Amino acid sequence: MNTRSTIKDVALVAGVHFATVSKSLRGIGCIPAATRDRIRLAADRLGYMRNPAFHALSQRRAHSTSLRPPKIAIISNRSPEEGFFRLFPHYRLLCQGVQQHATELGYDCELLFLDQGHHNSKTLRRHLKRAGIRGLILAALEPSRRALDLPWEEFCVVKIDSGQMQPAFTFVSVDQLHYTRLAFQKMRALGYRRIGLATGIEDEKATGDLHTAAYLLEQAAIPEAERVEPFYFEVGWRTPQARKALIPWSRREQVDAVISNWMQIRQLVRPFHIKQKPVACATMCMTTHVRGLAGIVGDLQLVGRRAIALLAGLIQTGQYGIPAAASYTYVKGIWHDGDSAPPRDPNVFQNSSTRSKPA
Amino acid sequence: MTMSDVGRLAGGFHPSTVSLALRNHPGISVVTRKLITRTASKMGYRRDPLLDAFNRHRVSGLAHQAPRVIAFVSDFESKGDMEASARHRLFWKGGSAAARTLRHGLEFFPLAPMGMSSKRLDAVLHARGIRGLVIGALRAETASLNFTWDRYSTVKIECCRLGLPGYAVAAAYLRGGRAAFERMRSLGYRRIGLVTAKDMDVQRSDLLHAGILCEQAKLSIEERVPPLAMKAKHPAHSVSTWLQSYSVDAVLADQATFRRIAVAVGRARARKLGWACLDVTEAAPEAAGIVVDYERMGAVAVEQVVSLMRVHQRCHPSEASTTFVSAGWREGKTLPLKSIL
Repeated sequence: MNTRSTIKDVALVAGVHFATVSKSLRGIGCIPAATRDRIRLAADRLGYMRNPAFHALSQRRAHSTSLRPPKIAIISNRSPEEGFFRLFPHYRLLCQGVQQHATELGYDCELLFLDQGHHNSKTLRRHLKRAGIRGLILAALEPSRRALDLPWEEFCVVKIDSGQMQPAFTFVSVDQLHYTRLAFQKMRALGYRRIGLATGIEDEKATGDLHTAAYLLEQAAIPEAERVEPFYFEVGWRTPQARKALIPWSRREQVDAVISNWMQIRQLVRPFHIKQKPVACATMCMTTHVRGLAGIVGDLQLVGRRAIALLAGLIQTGQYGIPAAASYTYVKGIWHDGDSAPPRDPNVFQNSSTRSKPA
Repeated sequence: MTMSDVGRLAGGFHPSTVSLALRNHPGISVVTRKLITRTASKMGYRRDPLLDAFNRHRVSGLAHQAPRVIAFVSDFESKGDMEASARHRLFWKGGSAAARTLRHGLEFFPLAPMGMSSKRLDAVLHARGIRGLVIGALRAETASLNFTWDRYSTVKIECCRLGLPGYAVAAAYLRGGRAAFERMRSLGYRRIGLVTAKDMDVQRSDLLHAGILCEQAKLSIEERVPPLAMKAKHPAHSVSTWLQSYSVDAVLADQATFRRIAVAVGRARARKLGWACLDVTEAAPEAAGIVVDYERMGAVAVEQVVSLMRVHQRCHPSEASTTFVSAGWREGKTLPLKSIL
């Protein structure tokens, strides 16, 4: 049975019209302070709480001019001119995932850019208000680019990637921890024994050291003689510099395989051999399977779908603003074998193990 | 434009058929569902999710309408038995509150009583028409769970090791473990060791271990204490050897495990050790340690089940996604500021 108190109950106790209660509790209109206090007191005493489902509905109606489906926005601070679609195929997949599932859930979805020639925080705010948008997905905001500043308490927000960036909203990302563990375990199963991790310092900062954490965990489970120090690409390195630093590391560590979240890893390790054998590699950032490349394909559409599902949950339960404690949702990926990491020749493997055993 | 219009144009369907089809209800055949969805999108008819939410809310408040039930399944003998575990009691509390807000009911189904099996429970849930499932942190003894998974929208709390289908909810022990380690360092402890127990959730001990390895990588090799994995019957001398050979001055362990350490090495010695508890809800009130918001975990699990049920999303790939709920920190007497000698 429904025993929730309504504004009419509050109105009865406070001795005013229910419209006055509504206005007073929402802080609008011109109501004397004394009345306002009386209403507040009555509401508290009756345990009146705003009905989130109705609030979401009335907010929508109040903020939009027609009865079109409610809208949410995906916001990025990299515009199409800066290569949003061209350079970063994962954005495209993310947006596809969001858009598809948004339609299934009954939301319209708009892609907005915060960049030169597009929006800044001020114009964006105006636009969101005019379009009646209360739900936002912040898609892969880059800390080095234009910052976003909005009155957050007016919005439900889900963030994709850049989890370390403040404020901490409900967060969705690919699961770098799982990627690294899976890639390492697969390479071990293929017969590689000295597997090194190569990742960017920036990536570790952005993910909260997830690649390193997973790698160290896997390293702790193997014999000490087979452990390899991880390698970090410095900020802003291009291919030649990265290769120049990678070669001495792989010689020193005698790696037989490298796993990396860089797509270029194959170009980086291709030219060199350790112990007359080509160094194998696997990448952990494929958006679709690239022929010949071993590694992990992330399910970016699912990341997008999870983001909009979480956002719909926030909107329907009226959870606006910055959460007290954000939750983090990670989406796993799928391993693909490839020529860049062939199963290691079983003969060589056997030889080396017999050699190490005293006859 | 209304649902009646859509029904007429799609070839004479009743508006309620249209409504069910647009909600992807499995009671309508796939062919009809597709036909109606296509017609609706051609006509430009869209469901209004906020109006839906409101209607659901209104209808579910009516006296004759029983709330939809979500099953909270865990491997206990009874509800009382479940509530004796602080963790599960809080999962239950948070989950029930969230279910109430969303106008659903949460009902406990024990897996462990005599004569109950997962197959039988599966039949019970099916007979009751239950479509939403929260699998609440199964204990280490339960090795598998055989449900007809495509009948349910499932979210599980921890217990990832079983590889069950459905989204998962867990505590953010990677961040939590790192924050705890940093705090212990700043209190003056230098040789901090993680102690895990055999019955600890694998994912949880892995995350803690990974977090601590990350922190230890910043330190000199002498200060890196390898973790101690306590077996069911762990010889006392090997605990003291571990403490001694790495000159451990503080440990991260759950309460039961720390008690076992105290038994193994003696109370006096254990009291000299700094101790950060892995979940302070179960611990003595004065323990310092990681605070896990179990209520929030229960609530998140229920919220996700409800949102899956709304789109009738039943079976999904195994462990496709995990949601981590933030873990906090609490100061306490078991971890005093260490005087630097």
